[in-house]
Amino acid sequence: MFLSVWNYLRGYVTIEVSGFSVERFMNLASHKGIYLWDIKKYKSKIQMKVSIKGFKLLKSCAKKTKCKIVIVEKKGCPFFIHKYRKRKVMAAGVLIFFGLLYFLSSFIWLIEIKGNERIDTEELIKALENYGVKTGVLKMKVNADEVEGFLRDSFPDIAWTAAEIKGTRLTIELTETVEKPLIVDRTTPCNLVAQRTGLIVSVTTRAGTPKVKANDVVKKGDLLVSGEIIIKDDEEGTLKKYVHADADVLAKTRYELSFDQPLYYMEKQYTNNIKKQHAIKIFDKELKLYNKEIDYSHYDKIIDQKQLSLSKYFVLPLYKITYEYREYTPVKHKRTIEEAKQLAEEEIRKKLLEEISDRGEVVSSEIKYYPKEDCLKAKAVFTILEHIEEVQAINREEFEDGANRKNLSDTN
Amino acid sequence: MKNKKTKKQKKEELVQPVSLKEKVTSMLELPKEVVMDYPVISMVGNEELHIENYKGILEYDTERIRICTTHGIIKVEGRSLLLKTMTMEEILIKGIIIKIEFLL
Repeated sequence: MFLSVWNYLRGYVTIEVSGFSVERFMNLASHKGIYLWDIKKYKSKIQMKVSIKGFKLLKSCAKKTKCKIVIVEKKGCPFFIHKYRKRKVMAAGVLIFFGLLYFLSSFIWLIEIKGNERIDTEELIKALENYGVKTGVLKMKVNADEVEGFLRDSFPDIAWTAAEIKGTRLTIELTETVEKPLIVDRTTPCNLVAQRTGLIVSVTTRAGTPKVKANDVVKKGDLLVSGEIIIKDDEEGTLKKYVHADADVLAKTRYELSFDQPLYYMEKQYTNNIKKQHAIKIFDKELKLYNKEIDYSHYDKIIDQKQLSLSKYFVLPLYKITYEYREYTPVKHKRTIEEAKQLAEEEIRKKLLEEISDRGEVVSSEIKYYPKEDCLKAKAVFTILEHIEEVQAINREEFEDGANRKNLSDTN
Repeated sequence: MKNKKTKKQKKEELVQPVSLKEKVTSMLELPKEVVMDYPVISMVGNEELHIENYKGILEYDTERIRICTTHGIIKVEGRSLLLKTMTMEEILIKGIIIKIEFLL
């Protein structure tokens, strides 16, 4: 395989030798160092292949052995070039082709980002674009090391990046930092206030002065545990100390949710009529190959976009887009009340979970359904047992005031 | 030239059947193809025959090839034989080989 390619590039001649002793001719040629190959008998004559250089040397051999040489076929690159030596436009075309290939390969046509989980890919791409790295930028202008540095500097969540340019593709691999745990600053004094309105079930204080007790009803924003501790309170004055209040305050809270479940729903019944339209996108310009009228009243449009590439690393700024239109006829269906109830409950529970996530547990629930003309209204009341404390810093002035007072009391 | 050679060969055969050169090479376990200039023949199945150290071809046909070596003539018989490559020191025969014969 490799040898035949090499022979093709060098060019070779297939000759037909006839005469009294072709064997002698062959011996003489090989002794002269001429490489002969693919020697075979063809209709009482012997055909063989020989390189262009060897062919010129063969003439003397033929004379000595009185053999006749006839050229059957000329093959290879040198003959090809000789044949087309006068076609300048074609030569120019070949040159332009390679020139264009080189020119286009000096741009970046695809940016690939791998390894991001929390950071949005689009956000990264936007940041890179502002930095000057986007599809269509010259490869020379992009310094992979600088891009790495930029990403690490502008996104604190990135622990490690590796940018690599391979062909026309820029691959950015990154690793995100481990999410930082919420560090509570224990030194700043603060109070705990209610996050929601509810009925207190239990209060467990670790630091601070509790202001509420079990079975109290608190409103949103009410003070639950104060960070102010009174150490001494007598005629001389009050001695106060401010701490970071810390407590578990469990309370029963009420959640009211409602949801309208439509009784009618559409079902798509596909008619198996599919129309396809192809388009080519160059940079941002889209070219529809041939226009087709879409005369469906209801249809799904499926867009399939593919970027073309010459190889894995040479991606082109060309996109092949296929639009697929699938016709369907909408069919109206009606749900039974039971079905609708079930769906509504599922939906409401999903909503509840979104609100409380895993902070609390459901103590009791009550869902009421009100059937209406075209929908089922569901109203639900949930009682949830959850932590309602929320940290709130103590007003600075108040704190300063307290500190001054403390000083005063100290001097006293 | 040819007459001289035949005379020499005859002489060797008459004087001693095993030459001194041969004795020395077998004693020292030297490769015979190098010292004695023997042909090296290797085959792949019955489809390829590779001969090194040959002197020339005497006859070429699709059914029969005769190759002259220092160790006599090698006659190869088969079907649709062709010479894949042919250089100064080696020759590659392709085709269906049925018989190889040494004519000393």
